[in-house]
Amino acid sequence: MSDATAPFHIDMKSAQKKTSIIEGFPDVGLVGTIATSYLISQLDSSVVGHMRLEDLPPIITVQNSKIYEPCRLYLSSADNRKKFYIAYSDVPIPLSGIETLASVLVEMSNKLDAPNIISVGGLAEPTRIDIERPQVYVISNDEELMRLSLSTGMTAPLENGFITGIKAALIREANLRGSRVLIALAQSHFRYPDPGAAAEIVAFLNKLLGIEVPIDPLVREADELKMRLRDLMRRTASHLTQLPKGLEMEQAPGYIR
Amino acid sequence: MELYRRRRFFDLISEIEEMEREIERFLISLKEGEVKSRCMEPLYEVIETPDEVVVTFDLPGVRREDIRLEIDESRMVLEAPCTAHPLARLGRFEFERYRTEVSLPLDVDVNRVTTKYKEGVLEVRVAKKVKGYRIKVE
Repeated sequence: MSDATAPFHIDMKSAQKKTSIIEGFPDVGLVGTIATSYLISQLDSSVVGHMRLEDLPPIITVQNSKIYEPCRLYLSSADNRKKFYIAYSDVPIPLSGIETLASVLVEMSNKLDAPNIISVGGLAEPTRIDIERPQVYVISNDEELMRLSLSTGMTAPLENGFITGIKAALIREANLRGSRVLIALAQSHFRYPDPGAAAEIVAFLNKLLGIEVPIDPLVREADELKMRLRDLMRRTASHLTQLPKGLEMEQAPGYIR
Repeated sequence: MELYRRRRFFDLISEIEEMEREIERFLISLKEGEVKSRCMEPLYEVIETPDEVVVTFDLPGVRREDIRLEIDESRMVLEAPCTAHPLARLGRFEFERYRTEVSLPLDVDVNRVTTKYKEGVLEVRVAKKVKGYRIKVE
């Protein structure tokens, strides 16, 4: 019997131990949301758990007349061989729930013996309109994971600056509990859904995870996606203004390098 | 001291809650307005550079030639139909066009405007109106 008040639930019968978790909660340009929802739709995916946040008002998601928790965990597989979890949310995470969610995610990864948490998203770029192919920046608390992601040839290291919000909370929590986290951020519009940036993230994940998810449909259906994501983007942007997101465009101060 | 800290903490929490209620009230009234008028308010952003006011609009599903943009010294009005796109029907609701009116943070020179439309994002750059006289620094 599952505990209705527990912060998360995983259907352990269908769980796959030693499988990485990809996280793409709503953030800058909804890049993580677009990339993870696209992977879920393109791969053989099923809901295997959910996260419950006290700070989230009572919300349920209805899709094709089925009821889901808004923050849920999918198990996705490519060719029935390569498997990974995807942590996804239909709603923006309120400021007061960010630390709890990060902690819940790391706890889930420990329970699943997940080797890595791969956190994907966008990095606000004011000149995004002039950029043909957004750059993906990576940072990790684990040297091997960092080396592996740079060896794909599709990323650059995030050398100086700041990370805020769910990704900062996640890496902090992972450091405390000894989990490995990789953060991959594509240059993106701040307040507009950015399927082009999400396509770069999917291309990077293809290489990193050894999967072959086609990118073309994501680019082709960009208009349709952007229209559907307009309301979520507006809500997410209003939450992002409560975070010091401007810091992500600034340099770390002082001499220390 | 402890009592002061606790009060400050609860003040902060209630400020955040009030802000969230305010945002929710705004989003509800915006959505109601959109549904009643069948007209979507596009996502937009206003940025100020030293010389220009830069306004960008996200207009997925809109053809460049259908965008109608009017600018005067202190505001910008944008209108564009989106009926050509199959997703003009979103969920239970149908929309016919985008429309928004943006108040500019300061007066602009309507004779110096440049636009760029790329992947559904329209960028409008308008020069700020130069006021005052140049003073020689001794």
